[in-house]
Amino acid sequence: MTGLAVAIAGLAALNLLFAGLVLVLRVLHGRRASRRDRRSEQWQPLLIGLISGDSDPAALADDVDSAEQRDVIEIAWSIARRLRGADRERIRAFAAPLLDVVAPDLASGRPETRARALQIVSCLGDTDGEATISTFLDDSSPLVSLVAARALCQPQRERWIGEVLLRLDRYSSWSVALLSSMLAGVGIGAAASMRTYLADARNPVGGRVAVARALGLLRDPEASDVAAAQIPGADPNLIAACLRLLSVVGRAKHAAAVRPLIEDERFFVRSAAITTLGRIGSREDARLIFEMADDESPWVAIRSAQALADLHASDELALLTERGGLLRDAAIETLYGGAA
Amino acid sequence: MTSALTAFNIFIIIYFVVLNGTYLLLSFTAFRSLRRYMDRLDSLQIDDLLASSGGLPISLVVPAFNESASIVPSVRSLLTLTYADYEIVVVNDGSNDDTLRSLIDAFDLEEVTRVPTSSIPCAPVSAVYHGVRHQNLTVIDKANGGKADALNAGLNYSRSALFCAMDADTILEPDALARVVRPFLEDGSTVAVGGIVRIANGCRVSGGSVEDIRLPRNMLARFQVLEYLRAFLAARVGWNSIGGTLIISGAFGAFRRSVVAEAGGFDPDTVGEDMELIVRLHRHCRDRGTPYRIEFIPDPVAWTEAPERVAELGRQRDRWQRGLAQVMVRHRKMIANPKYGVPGLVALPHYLLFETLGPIVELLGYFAFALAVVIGVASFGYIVAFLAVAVFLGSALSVAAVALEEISFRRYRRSRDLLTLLGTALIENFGYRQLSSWWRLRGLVSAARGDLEWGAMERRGLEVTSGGPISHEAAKSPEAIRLPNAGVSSGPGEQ
Repeated sequence: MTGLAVAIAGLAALNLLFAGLVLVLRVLHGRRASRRDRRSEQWQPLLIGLISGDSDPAALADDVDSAEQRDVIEIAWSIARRLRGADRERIRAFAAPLLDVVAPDLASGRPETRARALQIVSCLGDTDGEATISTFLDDSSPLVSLVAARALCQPQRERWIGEVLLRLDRYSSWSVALLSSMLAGVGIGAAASMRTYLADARNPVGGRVAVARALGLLRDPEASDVAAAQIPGADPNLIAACLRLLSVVGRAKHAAAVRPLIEDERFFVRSAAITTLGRIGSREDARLIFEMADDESPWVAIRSAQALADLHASDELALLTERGGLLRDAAIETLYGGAA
Repeated sequence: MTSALTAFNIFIIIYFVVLNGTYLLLSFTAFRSLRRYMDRLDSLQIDDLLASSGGLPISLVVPAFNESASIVPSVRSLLTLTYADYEIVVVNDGSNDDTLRSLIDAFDLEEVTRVPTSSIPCAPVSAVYHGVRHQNLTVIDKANGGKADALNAGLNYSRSALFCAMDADTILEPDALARVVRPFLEDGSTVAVGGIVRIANGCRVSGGSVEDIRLPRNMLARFQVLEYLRAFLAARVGWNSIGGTLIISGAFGAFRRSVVAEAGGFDPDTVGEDMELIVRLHRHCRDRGTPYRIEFIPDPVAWTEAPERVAELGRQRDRWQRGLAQVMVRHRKMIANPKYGVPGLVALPHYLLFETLGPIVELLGYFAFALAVVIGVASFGYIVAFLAVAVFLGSALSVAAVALEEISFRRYRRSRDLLTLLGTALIENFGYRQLSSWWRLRGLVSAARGDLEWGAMERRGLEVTSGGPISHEAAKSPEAIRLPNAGVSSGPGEQ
């Protein structure tokens, strides 16, 4: 009976504990929110004034009380993230001397805390901060490492691209779209390093696929020869990535490397090859595409019709409409924007 | 007889303790996971991430059956989502009202030819329409085949690598797509991601978005708010942290299109097509040794209207339970099978023992308890123990769910709403939980009969004029025979 009483008392206490926790959390959050609101109301206009040149960054930084330093940094970060160029530089000049408040977070045992602090340092820190950020490329947490890489893949930070590329394999689980956009974020100044990376067959396929996409986003004309050279005997995903790159920056001389691939056994390679031929091929390629268009994959049918349109092969496109089935529909969709 | 009854009663208490104890454990796991997740959200700013990646193109597939009253505002709301690259594919599933005409007129649609990019079997498609003003809007008109069939048709005609399955009457928060896509960016092997479904009853809805979040006045809807918090923030976050996500709500879930098409799309022969697909995706990927991730994340929000009438709620719960039972039978080979990892060894056995068979044991327990009291064989200690386990342990789960909401999203800003939720956590143990078990038991019976009907729900509608409360105009007739998208097709799923 005593055990039962203890168990019941325990359960009741558990309820009270949870309910108490809810109420305490509500009070604490309420207090924190009102404190932040107060500080935002005070500092946001001052920081916006700073951007407009109403005040001096150093003088304004001197006005920050140590008790409010963290909140002010948060406010400055939220504003600076949306700015570029000189406007961001003014916020940086104000915030950089105050960043010591974030330093302990960089050494935190929690990856999420380190990652957040890195973003703040990246956004508000001065050039010296870049070296600090680069040390986090080798952080034990892939999240922190990626945040460091993203922080370094910014315009004016081309000198770090080699370091990032060296570690690209660490980010293999992240989506290729994210990685390629990150790399392209550095700008055309990083293209030479990326071309070298793409050309080196010792580098991991996933990394080379991301780099090929990044070069496509940058529309780097010099990447076309490198892309064409990678095609023979490469991994299918890399072939498709190189074909997509060629569809953006390729020239007529690359068509010879592309043509055999419209008969590839993998549909995604076939459809990428057809798209590329549509962009860089010649009038003769239209006949080739027309003959190969009868494919089991709807993607190949769609891409074939589009490629014929890109090659201004209206006769072949019109002939497709007579074939029936997917090809007919794909041709109508291309010719008339889908209108039946 | 007496000793058998006593033994059974002891078994029932142990069952309740294990059932609720498991959920309490999941709540603790969820507590830790949620805190980490909130920090992670902070550590990778979603807008920066999307701005730098350009976002992944996604198709929103919206099945609609007799939705003429609500489809136009719903689509208008979807057109305002803050996402760079998305298309909306509305599938008119053989409506016998003006759903299609309303769409054609409101969005200036023209009939087009569009090539399907996959060939998942579905009822015949009679026409495809495209928005003249809204280039990212497509409407597919097809013969009636149910929600799963309509989703398959939408899948066939969508062009993006990702698609989001949702209900026509669900309101997505403006950044919901951006948030639900995030795990696909973070991990290229992600095949499915579910967001949270919250109850919009009582909230102020304007211009297709929820503007003021309040608790519903209707007691039944209030109970469901608590249920949804328990199910999504405690159970699903908890299951997700150990890799055991088995449900992504049909009201809002994003998928990698190629994998779903490869697995055969949605199954039209079940009323729990959303859970069935997730379990099948686990099976499909593990059978082939493909690395994959199925995630539940609590920050992308979809708002839905909960039933406020006992009969409607009963039908909904009946359907959910039927769906669950169908999934258990269909995928019985996965249960306790080490080949299927956490989903097979932990999650499915749990769903079988506590979710599928739970109502039978619970109701038998209540009956045996009442019998023992009436014939005078229940000791005082037993009565107290039974009530304590049934009431205190049950309410502890609900209060813990409210605590999880408070450490994470704090959507209910009014302190009065918070206190009301805490009070509701206690009250729901007296009547509502038992009623819920009864509905679920009925669901098991109809599953045994092979019933595939969806049941009807009278919609009061979420779209209202600016500033007003939720309209109480009936948007759908209760006699609709086959309703493809009544509420969340598989709701909380965890008690």
